[in-house]
Amino acid sequence: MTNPAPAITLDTLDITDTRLYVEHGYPWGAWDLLRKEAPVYWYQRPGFEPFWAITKHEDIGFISRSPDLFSNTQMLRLADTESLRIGQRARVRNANRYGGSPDDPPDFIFMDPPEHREHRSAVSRHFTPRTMRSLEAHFEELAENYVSRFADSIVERAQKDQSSGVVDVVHELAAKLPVAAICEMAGIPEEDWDQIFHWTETLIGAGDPEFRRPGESQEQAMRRSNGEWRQYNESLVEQRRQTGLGKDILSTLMQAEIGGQKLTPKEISAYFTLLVAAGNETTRNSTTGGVKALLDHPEQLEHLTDNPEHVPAAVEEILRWTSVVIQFQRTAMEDVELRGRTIRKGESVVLWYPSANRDEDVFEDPYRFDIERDPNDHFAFGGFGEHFCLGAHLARWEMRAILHALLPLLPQLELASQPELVSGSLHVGGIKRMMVRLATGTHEQ
Amino acid sequence: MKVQIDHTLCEGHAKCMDRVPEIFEVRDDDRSYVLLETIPTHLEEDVRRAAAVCPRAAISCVDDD
Repeated sequence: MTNPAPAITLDTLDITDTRLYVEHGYPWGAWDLLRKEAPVYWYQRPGFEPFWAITKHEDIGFISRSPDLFSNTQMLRLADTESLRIGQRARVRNANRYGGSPDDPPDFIFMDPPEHREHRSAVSRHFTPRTMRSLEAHFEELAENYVSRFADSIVERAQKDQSSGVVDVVHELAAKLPVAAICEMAGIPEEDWDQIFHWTETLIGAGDPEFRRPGESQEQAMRRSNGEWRQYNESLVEQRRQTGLGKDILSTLMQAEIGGQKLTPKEISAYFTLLVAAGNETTRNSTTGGVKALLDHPEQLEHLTDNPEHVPAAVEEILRWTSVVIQFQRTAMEDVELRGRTIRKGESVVLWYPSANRDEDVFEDPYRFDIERDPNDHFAFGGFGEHFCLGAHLARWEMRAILHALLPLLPQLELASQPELVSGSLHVGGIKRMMVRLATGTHEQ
Repeated sequence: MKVQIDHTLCEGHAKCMDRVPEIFEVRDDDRSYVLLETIPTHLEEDVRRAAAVCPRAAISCVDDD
């Protein structure tokens, strides 16, 4: 993740072509240019509805704090027009099958206050620091186990191949704790965790042919995966109806009352899907990106191994550095002036979080990876305000646990190849595979 | 200047306490509390900054007239 300096101009820059993301990584140079020359930029490109590209930390902060001016209820994630059509058809099918209207909010992120607050608070007690403290020892134990299995598999692989033991960080390490944590909190039995992981991978990665079955289109893969997941989800609900409710998140959702009304089965399912999916992908990618960042900056890694008390600050810097969530979208509810431009009522604004996380007005020397950066007011969990990530505490606790457990092993590892990126998503910057091996000189031949 | 914290929003991120421990205290209920009714002039700027970086935008500053 360096700052390349190709000759780009406002007229030619492209921040929406997902193929470019896969080939070159995030368009840091384009975002730099936008922040400098056109921080509120009317972006018009084929295949996308035009929108205002918002790239400054301050402006994303203002919009995030102003849900009365900028609504979540219309467009939430920028996508090409074809993906939007697929999404709209899914809404219609869901309404036909489960009742309600295609225009109902698919989940509570699509709501504005006051509805949003009521829905969010239905499960918020599962994500408080107090709940995390009660789970901390357990997370640490899980993290130790996963890291030790990861280390074993490197050694096994090395012995078997007479090589340095090439192993994938994504599937053999980074994916483990996020799945385990959210599944345990949701009361999902351990034998189903692999399946859950597979579903969330398809839900988010359906744009990438690797996550589809042979001959399947993006839409077919999503339909299949959604259908299987819904069915599984309903079986969990049914089980609780028969054998009684527990202390898990799903039980909480089944009891929740909002405005004196219980949630409908469709709402429960959507809410639960959001929690499970959001809890998996993001933390996995931040963890993988964090391993890469530390291996790319050996002096920072050495400093951290010597001073493990910096792990929490290092996690914040990893969150800023990797900026896994690329954007969310809002719709202006009235005309708003911003940096001399007029955003008209009904127009859409897209908040580019990775750009905010490299804003030179907020972060000194933003392209320097610094595990002691302080303050570090990054927007990795979204802008501050109404929709700040509900799972932020959970994600932090998980990443701290993994990093603590991994720290003794990390200096012995090196990247065996550059990470392979998930294609087709303009929402989450996913890493599909990242191979590491024992560094030269640290393994016996 | 006075400070108010909306406890329906506060989720215990404690960035306010990290910034200005003289004014903010996050307690066992994971909510932040204001320790002084009137903010001393020399801390006003820090408190405004703490309000600006509250992840939930739960802190509001009210200037004395």
